[in-house]
Amino acid sequence: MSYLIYIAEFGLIAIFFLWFRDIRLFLTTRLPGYRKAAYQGVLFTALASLGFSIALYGADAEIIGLGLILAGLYLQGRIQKEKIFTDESTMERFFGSCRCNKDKDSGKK
Amino acid sequence: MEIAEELARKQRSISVAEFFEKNKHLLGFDSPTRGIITTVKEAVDNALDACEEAGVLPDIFVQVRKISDDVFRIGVEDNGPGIVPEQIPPVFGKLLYGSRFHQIKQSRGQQGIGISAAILYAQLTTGMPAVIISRTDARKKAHRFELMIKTEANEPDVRSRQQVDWDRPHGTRVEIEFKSTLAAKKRLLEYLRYTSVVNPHARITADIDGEISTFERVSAEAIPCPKAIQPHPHGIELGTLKRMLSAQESMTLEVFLVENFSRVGKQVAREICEKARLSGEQKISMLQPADQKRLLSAMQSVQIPAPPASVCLSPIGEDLIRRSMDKEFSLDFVAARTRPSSVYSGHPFVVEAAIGYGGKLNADDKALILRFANRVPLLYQPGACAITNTIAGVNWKLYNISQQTLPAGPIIILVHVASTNVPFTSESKDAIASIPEIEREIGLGLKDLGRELKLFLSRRDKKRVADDRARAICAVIPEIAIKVGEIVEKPAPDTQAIEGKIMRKVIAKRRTVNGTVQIEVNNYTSQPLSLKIYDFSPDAATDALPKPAFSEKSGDEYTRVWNCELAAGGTWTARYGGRGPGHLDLQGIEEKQKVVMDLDV
Repeated sequence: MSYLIYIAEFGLIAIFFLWFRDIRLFLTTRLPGYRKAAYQGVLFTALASLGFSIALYGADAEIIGLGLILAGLYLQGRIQKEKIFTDESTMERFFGSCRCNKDKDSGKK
Repeated sequence: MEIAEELARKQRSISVAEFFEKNKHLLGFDSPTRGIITTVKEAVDNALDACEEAGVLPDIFVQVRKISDDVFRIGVEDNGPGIVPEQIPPVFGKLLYGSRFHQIKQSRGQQGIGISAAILYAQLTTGMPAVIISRTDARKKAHRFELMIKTEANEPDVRSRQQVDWDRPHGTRVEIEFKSTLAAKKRLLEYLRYTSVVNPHARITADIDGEISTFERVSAEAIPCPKAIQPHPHGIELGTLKRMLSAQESMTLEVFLVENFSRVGKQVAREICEKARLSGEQKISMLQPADQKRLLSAMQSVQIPAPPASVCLSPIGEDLIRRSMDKEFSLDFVAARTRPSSVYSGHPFVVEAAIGYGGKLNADDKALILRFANRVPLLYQPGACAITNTIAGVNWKLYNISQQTLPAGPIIILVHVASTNVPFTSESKDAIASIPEIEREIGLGLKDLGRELKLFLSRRDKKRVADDRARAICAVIPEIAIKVGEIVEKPAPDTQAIEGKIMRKVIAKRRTVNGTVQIEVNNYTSQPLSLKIYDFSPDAATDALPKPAFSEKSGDEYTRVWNCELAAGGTWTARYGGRGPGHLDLQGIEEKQKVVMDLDV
């Protein structure tokens, strides 16, 4: 097991994190960009999980596994999302806490 | 009958000078190129021996000047005790004349042949006399001799003698002119460099046809001069024993043994006598040839402690070898070992070995092997030497060093054999004979060093892998910062500080918070550092803490300097009241090792 496993692990955690963040932002904002990101995040996270399994268990296939994880990350990053932040702090932005629309009950923006 | 008489008329004795005149290759004068090195070697050896005996730090000057197409003048000058004028002609003009032959102790020269042979070689090739200048005291004038050797009689032939002024308060200068070439100039400088390595207390300055090289000393302590010891019973031969017995016929056997041999006390003497079936009270003049043989056999079979090597030998020492090698070769790794003293045929010896790795050494070459005997470099006949053979006999692959008979790579191996009687293969002292005891000690020393080198190499490889990983991470960090910036919809943060921490650099930060300028310097390197911190700003900073070592206004700006000693992993901070704009700089560290950040920008 080489240090590439740690990179793969980091990639997988990052993709899970970004997916959960997109879900959180979608639940807050109900914007179509975040909806798409939350739905497609299932596929990309699955792809990254497969990549991590290959990197972890596949003999001499760390690079292939890492490639799948990076592909997942790349595809997740390509989804166009709306600009939503205004005066939030960096940590709030990072963890997906948005003040732009808290009217979740109405289901409208 | 007539033929026999005619042959008898031709019979005559041969002087030792005549013998060596005909067989100069035995003394290392087999070619003009080599002659120049042998001459310098003999003169420098004598100079070092003389300084050692006088307890002074050697300051030796070697000069080689071209006189005509193929004639060179060699001059070697030392600051030793000098030679009394009466002794100068025999010392330089007679072969086999010297003070060390009958002493059992470590010394470079022994037989009293070397420098006389060089003078003999000079008069053979150019017919010019050697010039000797020597001064024994600052209150006396120096004596200048021009002398040659009467080869048929092996006696000095003094051509001129006069008192002269000389700039050295004491010392000796030898000037010899002979036919030679400077083809071996590189080797001559190598010889001087290697001599400097094993004589770390000596400063050697060489002027080779106008090109000056200085080999500086690394130790300012004169080495203790080895003291002569008595012969050891295990190293004696029948002829020597007979001579010793005949010289002191009035003694009793027991007293003779106790007084003439090292490590023989009364009890050992009695044991020897018992074993030889002789009485200790017996006068030695009464011993018959058969008794003498029995006595010798008993002397060599009785268990006797090894000779006192610490008295008669003068090893260089691990620390000085390391320092000398580092000075001359600038290595990444140097380790040295001085083995415990050992004995072969009654002669004590000490083996010292050192290994250097990396630095400026060429990785594609074979290992550089430096052989030394009694602090003298051995430059010729490496293949015939026990040192080379022992190095080839070690399995270097076990220590992660490639090997094709001899080890290969950026490696330097030094072996020094110090003994009261170094077993050379010939009189030219080029190679050490294959003595199992010596080879065993060399092997043990090298294996010990090999293990240390292996440890260094494995640590270095681990560090290299860690550095590669750190570099890979540092390459990814800015990309991650950009991505995170995109995610949080903010500009990418400055990642220099994180990179500096990972790459083990010094990071200096300057920021202004609520009207206070803060300066922070972190040393993430593994070395303690002595830094000068420069801060330029329009603020007067009279309240600066700590107070700067220097503060001056130039134009609209103030310049402040702090001197800071920063341990590895340490942090230094300073603060003062101010508005903020300004800039920071560090001195005392390489540019690529520092990161200076202005957080106000």
